Amino acid sequence: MPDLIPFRWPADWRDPSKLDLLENTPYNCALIPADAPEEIQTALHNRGLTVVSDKNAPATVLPDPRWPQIQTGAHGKIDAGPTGNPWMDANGFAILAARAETPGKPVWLQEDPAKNAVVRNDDYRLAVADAAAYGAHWLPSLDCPAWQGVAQTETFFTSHRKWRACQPIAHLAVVSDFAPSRRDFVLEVLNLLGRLGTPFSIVTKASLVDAKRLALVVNLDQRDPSSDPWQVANGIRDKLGRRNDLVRLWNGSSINPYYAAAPNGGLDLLQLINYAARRSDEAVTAGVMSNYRSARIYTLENPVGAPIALRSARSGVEMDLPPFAIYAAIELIK
Amino acid sequence: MACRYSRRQMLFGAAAAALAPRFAKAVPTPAARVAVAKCRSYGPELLPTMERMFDQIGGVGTLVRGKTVAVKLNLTGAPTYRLGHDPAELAHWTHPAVIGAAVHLFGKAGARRVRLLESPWNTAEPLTEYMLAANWEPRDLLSAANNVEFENTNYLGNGRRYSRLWTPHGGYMFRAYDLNHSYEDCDVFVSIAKLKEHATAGVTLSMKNCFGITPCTIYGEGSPADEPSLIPVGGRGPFHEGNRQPSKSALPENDPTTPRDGGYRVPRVVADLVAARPIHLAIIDGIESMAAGEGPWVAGTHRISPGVLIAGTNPVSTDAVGMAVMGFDPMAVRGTPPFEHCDSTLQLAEGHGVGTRDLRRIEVAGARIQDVVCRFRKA
Repeated sequence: MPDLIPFRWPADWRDPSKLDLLENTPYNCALIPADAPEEIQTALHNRGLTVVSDKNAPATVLPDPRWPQIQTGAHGKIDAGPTGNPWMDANGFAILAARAETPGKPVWLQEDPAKNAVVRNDDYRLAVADAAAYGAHWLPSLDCPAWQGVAQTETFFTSHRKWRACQPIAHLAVVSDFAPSRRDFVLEVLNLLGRLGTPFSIVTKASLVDAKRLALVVNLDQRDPSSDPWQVANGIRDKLGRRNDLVRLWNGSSINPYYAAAPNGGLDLLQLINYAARRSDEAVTAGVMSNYRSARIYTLENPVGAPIALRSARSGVEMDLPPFAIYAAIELIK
Repeated sequence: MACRYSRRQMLFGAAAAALAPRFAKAVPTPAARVAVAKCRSYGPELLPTMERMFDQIGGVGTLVRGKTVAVKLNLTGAPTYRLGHDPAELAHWTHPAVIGAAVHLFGKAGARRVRLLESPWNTAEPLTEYMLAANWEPRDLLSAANNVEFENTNYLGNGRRYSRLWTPHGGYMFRAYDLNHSYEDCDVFVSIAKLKEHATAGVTLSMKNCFGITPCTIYGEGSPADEPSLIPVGGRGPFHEGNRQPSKSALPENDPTTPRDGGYRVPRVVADLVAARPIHLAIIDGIESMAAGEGPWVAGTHRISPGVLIAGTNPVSTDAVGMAVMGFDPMAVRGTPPFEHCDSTLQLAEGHGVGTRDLRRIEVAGARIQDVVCRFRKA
């Protein structure tokens, strides 16, 4: 099957000329309502698009993705302590879980911002990056007010297609078969592990064959699903210990890191998703606990990339990151 | 505009100064020699410099031999914070090389046990884990002497109960403070601080460093009303703002009608703490530091390199020399730099009889202050 890059055709659109919005974009798959008019379906087909119904998408469509953002409480106040980290709504954990459950099957996310929310163009671009970093696709609607920026962002990720095959680098493996009775519990623990800066890989019992590189294997299917996920995640974090950290960020409280490796071993990739979706005045430093010879950083602002200096640190290397609003990827060469 | 303080409160503030002469009539406020040394880096020059400074203040052998030495570090804020791209120890944290040198010299002088203490931000995780998060290697400190231990003192920790330490004269803010056992279960207490300013208290030196000996399980924003929480939640906002009392397991503040203003409250809490938990040795790391605040979260802060170490056995006198090295007058009072918006912790501690801040009474050994001065407000 070709690599489908999906978008949503708005249910109330009847004008096929709107398909011109797809000019010079990588989108090649239209997700349409099951009752879409015949003439729309024909126009989509005639344009060479793969047309799928939202009832039979050839992908895992996540059931309840979150609109990626820094979570705010009452009156828009950021939900965090004075020097604590803000809480982020992110989807990486759910995408990794879906990829582990059905290896090889594409993962799509269909979510929209809350009604009446103030949404900037960069917030939509963040939705693309939040999915693409973990190898999934966000399903933008063609009537998205930031369509041009969304398409540009998807183009960026399409030009780095090889990154999609990267697998998580982790010292922690979480085992689960995602049985319905414990699915919510397991997903919440994974979500919280991400927020604790603890990289993990997910394995099903059937696929747990090589644990040699792992420092800790946790079978979440043996945990009481009524346990407090926060305590469970913290307990795992404490047991693993910071000596097994793989990535450290300084001044990057709104950034989620995702550290992964190409399947052939030739490339490690550190992706950084900034859920503030705006440039920070703070100087962000990233550290990886391995040694590399060279590195190149790509951002949406600089899609062709540029070398980034590596500084030897106590363990591994550190990099002083240039400012970026939404997303950065650092290719690390050993 | 309405006056923020009542007449009674103004008098209470003035009483800080009044306490000193009253106390001085009975017992002269102690003064002790303070050693000052140029030290441009955390490299090989550091250890011999510190050893020479210890000799200049009378040696640490008689202080630590056969003793359990508790050392309060300054690792303020989360380990994920940096001032720019520079590691925390080059700005707002005491540098591990300074800690390691001190630990090594305590061991060499015969200390039986050296316990490194800090109350890390919002966590009960081991202190070693907190250090690792900042890219430190705790094993370097473990191997600096025999019997080195770490304890996170932001909660009950390894103790069975909190220790109640009483403040002389009833305290400015609290009659006693409930602390992690480590601050009672020691023979010698050392404060290793950073030479820097503080947004609320004017300066962060060896005394302000002790603000962090208080457990947030009792005095923090998230502490329960009745009993301490199991793990710390949030920071010490209640000390700053006075918006709530500590958990009822501890004593409430003396007078809940005093100003709910950090510039009034924090210096008094600090002065109480250093009176309740006396500091036997104060070491101030001024080799690399920051100006305009105590951490990267304070607007306008920037790196500076004073290239100086300060040590003394009296924290008020040591901090007074530290202030002079920073280009401030240690006799400064509220309304004058660096105490534009707060009371002077030094003045208040002097009022408790802890020590003198009068440079005329303090003998400075080693480098002269005028030769190492680094004016923080002009840096």
